[in-house]
Amino acid sequence: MLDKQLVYDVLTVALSTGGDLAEIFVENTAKDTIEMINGQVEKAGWGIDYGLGLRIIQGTGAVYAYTNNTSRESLMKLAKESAQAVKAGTKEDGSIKSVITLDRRERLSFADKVAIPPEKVGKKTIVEQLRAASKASYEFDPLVTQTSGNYIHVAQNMFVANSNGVWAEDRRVRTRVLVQAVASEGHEKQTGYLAPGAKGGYEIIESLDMPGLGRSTAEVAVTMLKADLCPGGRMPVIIDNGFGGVIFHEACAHSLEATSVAKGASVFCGKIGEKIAAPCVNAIDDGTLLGEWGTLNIDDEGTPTRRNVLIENGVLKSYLVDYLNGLKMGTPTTASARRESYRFAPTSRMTNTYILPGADKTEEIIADTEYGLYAKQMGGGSVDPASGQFNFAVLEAYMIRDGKIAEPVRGATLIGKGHEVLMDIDRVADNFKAGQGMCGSLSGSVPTNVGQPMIRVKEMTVGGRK
Amino acid sequence: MDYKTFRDEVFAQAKAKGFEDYELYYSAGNGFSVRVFKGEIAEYKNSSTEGVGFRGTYGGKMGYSYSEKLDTALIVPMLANAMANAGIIEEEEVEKLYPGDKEYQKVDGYSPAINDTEASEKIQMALDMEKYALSLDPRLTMADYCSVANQESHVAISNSYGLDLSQKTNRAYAYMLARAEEDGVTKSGMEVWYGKNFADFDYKSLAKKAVDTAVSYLGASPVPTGEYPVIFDTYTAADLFGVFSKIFIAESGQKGFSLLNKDKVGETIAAPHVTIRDDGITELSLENSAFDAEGVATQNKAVIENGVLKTLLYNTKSAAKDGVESTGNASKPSFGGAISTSTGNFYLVPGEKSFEDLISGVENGVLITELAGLHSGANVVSGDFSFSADGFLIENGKIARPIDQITVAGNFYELLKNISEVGSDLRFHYFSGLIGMPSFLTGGLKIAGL
Repeated sequence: MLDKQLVYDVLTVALSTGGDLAEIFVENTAKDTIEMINGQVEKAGWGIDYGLGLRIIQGTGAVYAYTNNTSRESLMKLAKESAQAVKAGTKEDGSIKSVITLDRRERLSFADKVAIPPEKVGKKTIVEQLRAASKASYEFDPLVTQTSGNYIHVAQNMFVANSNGVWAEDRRVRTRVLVQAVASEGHEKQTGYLAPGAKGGYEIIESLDMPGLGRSTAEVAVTMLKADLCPGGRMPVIIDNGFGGVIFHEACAHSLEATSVAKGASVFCGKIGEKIAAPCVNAIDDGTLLGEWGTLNIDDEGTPTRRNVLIENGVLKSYLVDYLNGLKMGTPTTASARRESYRFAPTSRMTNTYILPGADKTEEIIADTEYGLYAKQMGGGSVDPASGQFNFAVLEAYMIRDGKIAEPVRGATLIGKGHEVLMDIDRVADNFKAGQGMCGSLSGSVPTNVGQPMIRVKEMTVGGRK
Repeated sequence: MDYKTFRDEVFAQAKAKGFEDYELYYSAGNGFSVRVFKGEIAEYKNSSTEGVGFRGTYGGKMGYSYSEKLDTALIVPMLANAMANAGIIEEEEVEKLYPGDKEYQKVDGYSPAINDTEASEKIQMALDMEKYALSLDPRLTMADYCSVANQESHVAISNSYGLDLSQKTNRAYAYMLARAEEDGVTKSGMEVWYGKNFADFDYKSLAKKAVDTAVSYLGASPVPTGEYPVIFDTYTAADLFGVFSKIFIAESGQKGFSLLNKDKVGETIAAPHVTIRDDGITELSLENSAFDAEGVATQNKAVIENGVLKTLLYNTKSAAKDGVESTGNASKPSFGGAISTSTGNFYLVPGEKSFEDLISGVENGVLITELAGLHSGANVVSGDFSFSADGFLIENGKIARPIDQITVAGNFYELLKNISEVGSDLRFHYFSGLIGMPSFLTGGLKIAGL
């Protein structure tokens, strides 16, 4: 995407004041969107995100500058100013890195496979797919009063090169729909929501049962509308598969990111090789899974992605590490460097982060629980990695009484500390499923998959209004 | 390439393509930030960006597209996609371009003084702030995200009706998250400064507040589950109102995503001492604007006055639907986004009592000073919320001890009616929308803890 001589010249100027590593990241991203409300298209968008980020690392600090003017004049000025921000002469021998290697390694070039480019089918076809979901929601129950459907298609062409010889490019193509149904009666309103997405083009939508998505969201909304308020207090909690994996994502995996670990702001610092979870817990972060929402060919520093085992039989095996935090920790990168766009310096993030399936049967887990909460579908949440304290909303929840799923309850939240909950997982089922999300953190919002089978936590704090 | 040259070319081609009318929204920004950690620069950021959003009427419907690359070669795909996007719009209410108002309020949102401070001075402020924070208490383990920053933005709107507006603003800010540890438990305290001149920035005061907050949470434990009178301080009040301010957007009600609509105007929806204003320009805030994202002049108005709903917040499209005038609340999520509606300077008008007086009036209650899970824990449609919270137990009018690991749950519509006292300590919070809140006391909230 940039001329080799220009890349060379920018990196040379960037390192002229004593920086250890200089890196260029360029992207040209096309975004296509449709927003349907109550079965009618209200908004449609298209645009180009374009820009360059220059990073200079010196010691364990970094200078980051970005712009969308990539003319030679603008970039040389940017490189010069950024180099001036690097505190010159802080190296013991005062040396300046004079040799810049480009192409030392193999040139990497990837592109996601797209079976049906959306522009081939046209936006009107996609509109009809969204409408099918909306129609099915309305037909499911007269209590459904609103629906919304969104379509997002993003094709990011990115290029990254650094003074250590990385030269890599990737074309990342993702497609996602978000389907929502609202059921209401009097002043009470409840929402059902599903948002499947994957790498690829229109074939992703074609493979979905859009009316089925509409019905499922309507069913959750209607069930929750009729539900009583959730009781608060401490109780056993069963969290189902799919988006239920957000609990591990928030409560544990964020605290395994080098962003927190490198500066000693994680509850899991210094715990490699130690038991941090119950023996039934095995967890991975795998950026290589074919076609998954969180998958990447290369990370945003140009490192090919891999399968990282995070927890094996309850023992902590690895953190998620990017180059810069790896320098601080004395650990190599795990190909976990990600950024929303050129506007963000990369840092350690998740890709597809899963609790692996166990041996338990879902029916047995429920039958063995006398009283507790069954969180069938989770909403979003957040965590403070330093204390491990997290919170989640539960979109669809039921009480468990005498080993059976009993009445639905609404307004439940789950709170606790990640490292405590990991130890308290006592059952792991065999029904693994993944769910898609957008994860927000220091380097912006990135697509990630969460996933798990049904798990049970012995005891958790449930927030409710009753 | 130069924005004006690009604009003229876009307009010429849009006209030739048969757009009935058209508009270009230009946005440019420069940013600087430095973050230090353990006496060294951890991150130094510099940015300069620009982009344009196009919208134009084609076949009676509004089509959108945008680009961050001001390249004439992109004008063809921009216009083609805008036409295609217009072609699928089905909504009956038609979005229209705005020809402009006769008069606009005067705003001076640009402070040249911010540029007088050199990068090296800002780095020193961040280093001093961290060093000072770490010296304040032996239990402090780190001053995280210790940052000093400034940013300026330039917005210009021009359309085929001759609208031609532009506005330049800038801001300086600093923040840190103090982390303190005792008995293996870490607690954090965040503090932010926001201003128009670094000369007004007192790093010691910011560091002390962050450290005091973190340390004050040490030794926290939950309280028994039950119903308590609750005081939200200015921070958590802003978090809560930031989430639920959406219910006052007319478009939400029109689409059934809020329980409020034009028929509720004139009804009592809050306690009599609750007055909420939404001002385009107010001396209380540092972020003022003379026009909104459609180019409509901003207004100053009461949303709730003494408990009575006075108006909802409108852009031109939602106003036409309700047969009223726009309140100048049109917004765009970014230059490339579609027109929607947002709050301006949205604030709860302060009462007489100080924060301390509010606390001393409570016999047995909870002071909430941190909220988490704001978006996942709120059902904006029904008003139900359940948030993870930290704070303090109040006993006999005094702060007894810190509390953590609780949830606070209730309903925002009920809360508006249950606000029993509003404090005098109004503060604007610029990172959770533009929300200005004093602390307030309310009853009827369920706390889940032990």
